[in-house]
Amino acid sequence: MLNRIVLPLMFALVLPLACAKKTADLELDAADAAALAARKKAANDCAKETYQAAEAALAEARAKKEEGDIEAAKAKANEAKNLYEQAAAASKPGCNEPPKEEEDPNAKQTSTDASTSIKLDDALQTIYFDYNDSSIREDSKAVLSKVATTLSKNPTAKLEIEGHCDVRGSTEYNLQLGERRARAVQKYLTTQGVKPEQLEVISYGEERLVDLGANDEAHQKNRRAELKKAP
Amino acid sequence: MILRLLSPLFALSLLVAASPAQAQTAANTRTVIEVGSPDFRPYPIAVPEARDMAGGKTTATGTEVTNTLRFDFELAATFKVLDPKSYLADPTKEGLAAASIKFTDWVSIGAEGLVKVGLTETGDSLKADFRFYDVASGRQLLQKGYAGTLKDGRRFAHTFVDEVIFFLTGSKGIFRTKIASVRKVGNSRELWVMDVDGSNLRQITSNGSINLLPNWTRDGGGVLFTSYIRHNPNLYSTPLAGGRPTLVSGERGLNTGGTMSPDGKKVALTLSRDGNSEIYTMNPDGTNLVRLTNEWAIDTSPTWSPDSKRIAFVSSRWGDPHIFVMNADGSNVRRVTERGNYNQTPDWSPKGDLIAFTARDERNVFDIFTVNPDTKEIKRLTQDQGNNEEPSFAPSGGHIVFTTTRDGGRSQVYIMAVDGSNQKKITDAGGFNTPAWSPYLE
Repeated sequence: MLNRIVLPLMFALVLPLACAKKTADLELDAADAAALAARKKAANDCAKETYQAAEAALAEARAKKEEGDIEAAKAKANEAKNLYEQAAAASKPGCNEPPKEEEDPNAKQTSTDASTSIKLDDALQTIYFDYNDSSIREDSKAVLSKVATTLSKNPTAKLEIEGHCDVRGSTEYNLQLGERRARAVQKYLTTQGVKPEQLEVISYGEERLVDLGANDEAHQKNRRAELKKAP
Repeated sequence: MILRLLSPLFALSLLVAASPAQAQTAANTRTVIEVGSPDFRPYPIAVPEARDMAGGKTTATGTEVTNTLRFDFELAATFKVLDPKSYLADPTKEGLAAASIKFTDWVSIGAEGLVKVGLTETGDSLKADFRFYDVASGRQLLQKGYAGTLKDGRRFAHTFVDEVIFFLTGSKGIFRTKIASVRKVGNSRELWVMDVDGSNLRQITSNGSINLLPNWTRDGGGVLFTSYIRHNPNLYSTPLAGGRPTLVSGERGLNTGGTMSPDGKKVALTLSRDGNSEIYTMNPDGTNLVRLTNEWAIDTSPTWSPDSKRIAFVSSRWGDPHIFVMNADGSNVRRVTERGNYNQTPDWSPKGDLIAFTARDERNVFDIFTVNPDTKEIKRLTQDQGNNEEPSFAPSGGHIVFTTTRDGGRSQVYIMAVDGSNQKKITDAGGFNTPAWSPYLE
């Protein structure tokens, strides 16, 4: 909690450094992250034109970087990031799925697998953690209870719980911390009646960030456990 | 490691073998004092440009050799390379032999040592003549001849610096060792190795998966590392020369931070197979697994003492992560960092007296410190220059490699002396983390 007070101080220290750098890597990384976020919202289908404009700007940014024109590369990377964000904002999940057809009683009989997986999608949630902590927060408990209900109805379904951390701290310590987060979710779900054999855990530590920012908001987004279909 | 233990004997035999006059000259002119000792004063050395024996012009190889010598001597921290602009002698005219050197010119600029290099380039082949003089007496202390191709120039220079250091201190030089590191590019994390000056940067994995936490095998022939190549984060060993990684530990869950004991008999690592991160040891072939810790907390990042009898590690058993030490059988656990609230990545010096680690300070900045595991005395090595993390000792114990964000953007690999002096950047590419210094390789 001390963090909240100390963090602004850190930004004051970090900011001049960020301005002094001589590469466009940060901007390019930020554009890549925005691209990923946009794709997650299916912006490449839902806001096709904006998304393609962003792709073009990013390609140009990389080309400028290769040529050694760092300033132009930064500008283009920022432009790409903005376009990706616009594309993401204009997208709604599901816009790229075909409109629902009239129910076909014959089709329904043969699609037990499909209906299982549709129901299972309700369990594919992400929950978040406090700094250097792996306890299940109050706001996650309702989410996980629903996950437990879904899994109990799909007793053959298997999930893999991925534990993740923010970028601060060492590579190896964060692998252990991510593992604890994933196991905390596993434990909570089993107390809610899920069979242990339905739940695998894996930790990615700080190796799969969803937000490359160096601020509190980005760190919070990265401190998470993602529930996915087991491979 | 055996060589390291024997090095005092080597020094002794060198003194016996060298002619009495030479030994006496070296002893009389200068007792090289270790960095960090209160009487330390760097040894002033002049390194004029390597001479092209054929034409007297400066060749590309000559420049590379000269620059490598100067970089290495500076990095060694025991030396002060005198500014070439102050040199009075004309490097294209002054010869290599003692008779042709006007030593008063070198005395007057303050040099105590002088390195002379003559290169003969014939097509792609290279012959090199390296000499080291004591300036005060005008006596040649070392002469080495090397033959190879033009691309060997840098290696010859590293080798000669190691020879000079060994001559003056009786300790092996570090300039023919290597550094392994992970390089992050986008979502991929691959292993790379480089020379101590950052040259010969080479990728040693290219599987497109997540490859992490390299640690050298004791013979220096390969690295242990954690990889997600088969989904579960298993421990593998890969030969440096290339070839298929072999599985060392494939327990369910994390298999991280595998590190071989200095006597080569054990590997310490962190496993989560029993439901929590604990430290284990096993034989290098994966047999005889023994669990050392048993705490409902994170226990990780083991590092061996040079006698293979103790292990330092990170534990959050008292809440915040701190550095602890235990016997190699898990007994006698003791906390050694009593300050700070976020101490990680311990690396035990091959000399035994220090453990380097990363600490987060009150401003949330990461910096490198050392702690004496017995007295618990702490020293700060980096400050006010971005985040500095993941220290790893050179096999001499005299230098530390680490990563830093001080240049802005992606993290770079730096090397410093064990007292924090002579911090030097060795990479340009960026995106590096968890560097690991090799054992002596030759």
